[in-house]
Amino acid sequence: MNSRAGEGERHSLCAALVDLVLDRGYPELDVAAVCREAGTAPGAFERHFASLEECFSAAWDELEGAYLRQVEAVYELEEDWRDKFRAGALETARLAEAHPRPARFLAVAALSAGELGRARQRALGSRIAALIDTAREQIPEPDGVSAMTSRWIVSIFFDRIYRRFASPGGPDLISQLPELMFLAISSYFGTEAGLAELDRMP
Amino acid sequence: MLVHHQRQRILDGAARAVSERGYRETSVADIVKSAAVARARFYENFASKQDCFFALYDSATEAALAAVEEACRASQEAFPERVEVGLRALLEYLESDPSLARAWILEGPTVGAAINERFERLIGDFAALLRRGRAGAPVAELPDTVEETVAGGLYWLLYYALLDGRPKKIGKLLPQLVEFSLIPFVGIEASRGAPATG
Repeated sequence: MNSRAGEGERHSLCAALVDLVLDRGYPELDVAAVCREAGTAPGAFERHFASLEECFSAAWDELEGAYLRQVEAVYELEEDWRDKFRAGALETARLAEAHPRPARFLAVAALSAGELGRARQRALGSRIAALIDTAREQIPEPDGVSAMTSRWIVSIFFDRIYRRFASPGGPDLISQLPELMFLAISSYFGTEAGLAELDRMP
Repeated sequence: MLVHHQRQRILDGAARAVSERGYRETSVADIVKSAAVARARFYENFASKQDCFFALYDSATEAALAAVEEACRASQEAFPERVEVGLRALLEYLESDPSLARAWILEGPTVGAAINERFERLIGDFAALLRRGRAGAPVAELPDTVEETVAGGLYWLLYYALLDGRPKKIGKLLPQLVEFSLIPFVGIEASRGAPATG
């Protein structure tokens, strides 16, 4: 098998695992089901992965990588932290609404894998929190803001994403952004700056 | 009385088993072993593992809400102080039974779609408490769902604290939780002046 075909097969297996986790939950999976869903021959799985856990991690890496590349690209286009954060939040909401299955996998269904899914969610949350916490560079007294503020902001955003994709229906993420931005900006820059966000977002 | 005791014993066993093994990996056999009861007693009380876990989840939600409500009712203080009193009661409840705290907060979301209604009710009930608490308090005009957003954020902050294996130190989060809960209502400066933040 040439490398392109190998990559294609690996991607198909990852996509199959994502579909099965979404439809049945991780504990119901086995290697044979992933191969069947991917339309690959039995034995294909072992060419790429040593275990289901490894396939889960590879699938997560694919989806997380695609998400972060897009969000970091819009984030880097802006100069001011508030503009960066607003652009990143809007891109996150747009991506999730446009691609609900990957969003539901990352936010909700991955938790069915227990510690495996939680560890990946926690690492992604920490990475985003570190990016958010660069807001300190723009405030006069950075030590006056709690060390947990960025984690708080990740938590309020994650709650809305989780609930959007855990239960059908409910308001879309884009319409919830003004309120989330109000809370996030208030936490670093004060109420007045936070309230201004209520009129800025789409 | 005996039936109630037996049911509670099974729920305690379920909290320990689910906390140790995770909801998905826990079987009815694990629960009856942890509770030290016969399998038949389990099925006299619950139809399935999920039924038992939901009873545990509902009981924890009800007890935590009651603890927070009671603490707030007993306080004659202003809104910021009542928020602190309520959050302290919640953290004390979580600290009082680390197994139950992990099973309730950490394992709930692993159940899947069947837990969603209960999760929404949990967030909605705590948001309603916050909304009642701030009635009459002089705060800016805010979006209708801001309490729900705060309650949801608090849930996931506690989730990650428990995930980090800190059930016995969770009380130390009080100043931060008070500050984050108050920022939207009284502003960042005043929220830091609330008692728990020193």
